Amino acid sequence: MRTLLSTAFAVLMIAVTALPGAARASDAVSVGELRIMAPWARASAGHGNAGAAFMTIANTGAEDDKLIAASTAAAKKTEIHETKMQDGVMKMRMLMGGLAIPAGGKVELKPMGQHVMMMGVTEKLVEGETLTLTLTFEKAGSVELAVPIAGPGAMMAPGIH
Amino acid sequence: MRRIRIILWLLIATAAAIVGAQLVLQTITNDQATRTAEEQARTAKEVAREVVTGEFSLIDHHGNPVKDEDYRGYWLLIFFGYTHCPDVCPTSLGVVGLVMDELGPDADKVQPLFITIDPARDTPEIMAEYVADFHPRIIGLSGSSEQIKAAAHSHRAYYAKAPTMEGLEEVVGEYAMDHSAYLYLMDSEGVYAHVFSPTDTVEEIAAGIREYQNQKN
Repeated sequence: MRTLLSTAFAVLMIAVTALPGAARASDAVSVGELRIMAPWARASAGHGNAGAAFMTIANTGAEDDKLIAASTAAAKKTEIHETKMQDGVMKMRMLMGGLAIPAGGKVELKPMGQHVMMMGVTEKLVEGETLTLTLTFEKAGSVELAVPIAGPGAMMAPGIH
Repeated sequence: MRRIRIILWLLIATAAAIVGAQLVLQTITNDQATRTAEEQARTAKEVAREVVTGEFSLIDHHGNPVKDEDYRGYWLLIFFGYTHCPDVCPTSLGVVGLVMDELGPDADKVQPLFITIDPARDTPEIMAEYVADFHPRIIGLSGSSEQIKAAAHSHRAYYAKAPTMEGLEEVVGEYAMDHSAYLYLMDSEGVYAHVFSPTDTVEEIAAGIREYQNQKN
């Protein structure tokens, strides 16, 4: 009886700790002192030649870092871009020197701001599926992400409202 | 001595005259500035109504020739963009789709149009596939480069090939476009009503459309 009770207790404890733990683990990926949270991409609309991925990158370290490259097998070319409005005109430009992730800071890549831009998408990005994306940082190195794909006009990661 | 006194008086009088003239000038300029600001606010809409004629002659995503007059009776919600656009266009069309949902039955009299500024790549077939992914009511419009140029001009919309991406075109056959990202609202008679900013929310745009519709009724 005692064994049964303690077993039940142990199972319950594992269930309680494992559930939110698992959810957190899938939300953030660490590389060096960087934490990459809630990555997501937009599904291709129509023929879907261009794609964008978004995420939040936090730097928990004492040294500045920089996102210098991104790549995926799903597109011919992947770059780090910024959308900016100047006098009512939307301009999208490559961030030539990379995207700075300041020490102790947090950078949010989001629609109408900075994003990982995929050009010449070869495999259509389908809502509900996952995109494999590799990010390379100047100091922290490279990390591979499983990026969930939201709807074509989505404004945030799937499952976040 | 008398001469010196006269010269001094003359100097004082001149200085006073200069100061006085400056004051008067300043007052006039201030007045003008105030008036201009008021006039600008009052006439901005009148000017927009004159210059944004909303005329176009294009090809819809079913391949049929269409003109702005064909949509009389509908409030048009017009956005200029292109399908290779990774961020601004999907964001804006996503917003347009949500605005249509938010309007509910009021959306019946609203016709969203997505006009390409990249007709070289955006054929009617490609436009059809693209807009369908955002909302079933959105109609995609394409045409010859002259037709697109004329449509953009009648809305005072701007577009140009983005300069820094040109090298990229050789690598992957891709280029980006710079373009104005306003959302135009034309009333049921084809007259300019308003432009929404790319940063306006779904709720703000839906409320704006309802307000203009009510004013008109």
